Amino acid sequence: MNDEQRAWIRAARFGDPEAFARLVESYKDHLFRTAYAIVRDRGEAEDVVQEAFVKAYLTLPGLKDERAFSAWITTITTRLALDWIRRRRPNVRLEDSDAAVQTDHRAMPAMKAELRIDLADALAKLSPEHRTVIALREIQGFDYQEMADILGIPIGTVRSRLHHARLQLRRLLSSHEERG
Amino acid sequence: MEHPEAELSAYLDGALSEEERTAVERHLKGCERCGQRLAELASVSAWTNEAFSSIMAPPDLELRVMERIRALGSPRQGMRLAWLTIGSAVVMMLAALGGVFTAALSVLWAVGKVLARLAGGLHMTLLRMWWGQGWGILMTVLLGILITSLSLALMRWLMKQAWDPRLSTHP
Ligand SMILES: [Zn+2]
Repeated sequence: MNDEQRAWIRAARFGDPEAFARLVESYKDHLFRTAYAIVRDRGEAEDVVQEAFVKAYLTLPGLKDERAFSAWITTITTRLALDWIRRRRPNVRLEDSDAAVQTDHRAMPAMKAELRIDLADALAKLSPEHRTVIALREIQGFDYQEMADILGIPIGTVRSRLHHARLQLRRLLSSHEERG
Repeated sequence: MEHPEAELSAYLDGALSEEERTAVERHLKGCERCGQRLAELASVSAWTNEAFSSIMAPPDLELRVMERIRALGSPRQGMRLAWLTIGSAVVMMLAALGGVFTAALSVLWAVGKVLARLAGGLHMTLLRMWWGQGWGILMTVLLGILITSLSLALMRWLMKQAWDPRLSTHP
């Protein structure tokens, strides 16, 4: 985090919406990717990120250290996203998510086609816990201690979850390559 | 040494202790299989990173967030409003409780007087007095209840203004 961002955080804490807008601008893609990785639906990911930003704005005076902003707002987003999928009814879940992945392909021509299909498929095969650790590590580059703090789990659990998630992805990707 | 497969992912992320790292490195020098596995994990990691980086937030997300935030006002204002509301509600509740307490005391006082005068045999005067006191007490109790419910309603309304209700009421 640079000095400029720290200044925005301070100004936003004193209720400057312009400063907060700059923070939204610089964090929205990371947080959207994280939320998408967990909920696997663009519309729901957008709802999650909106809620996360509003919640962050309201509770920003409670944030003691500006340097913790990134981990802090990621914690808010991750928890909201996990709550979101827990609330989702199991029978609605499968069809809805598959349909959303299908429409995604047509709706987002700017994405690289192959990667997009693979990522959506790969995420669909992982459990929410595995998707979450993958997102925190590969999107945001948090270290293991930060991930343990964000998820409220022991560091050893982070380590084994991430390892198993990667092994599973490796299997999926290699079987994909074999099929051509 | 056994193949340190479980440590390879953490090794890749630089998350091993000094001791573990040295052990894994020593093993990697002599084990082709683990070297292969490590390369695979690295490519999974690189692939995931790249796949995610092609996903962008919807273009209007920032606009929508800022619309909601401008409608909320400053978080400090919100906090101040909330504290002001809670403070005034507490004061009103205390006043209402005070009213009820006074009413209860005057009931006791009246009963005491009635008993005292009953002993003296002045029935009619007492009944009239009791009647007068009773109305006073009833009005005080009613006023207390009214103030309490008004302050509760006001508190709810102000809380709604201070905080976006959508935050706490997910479907
Ligand atoms: Zn080995």
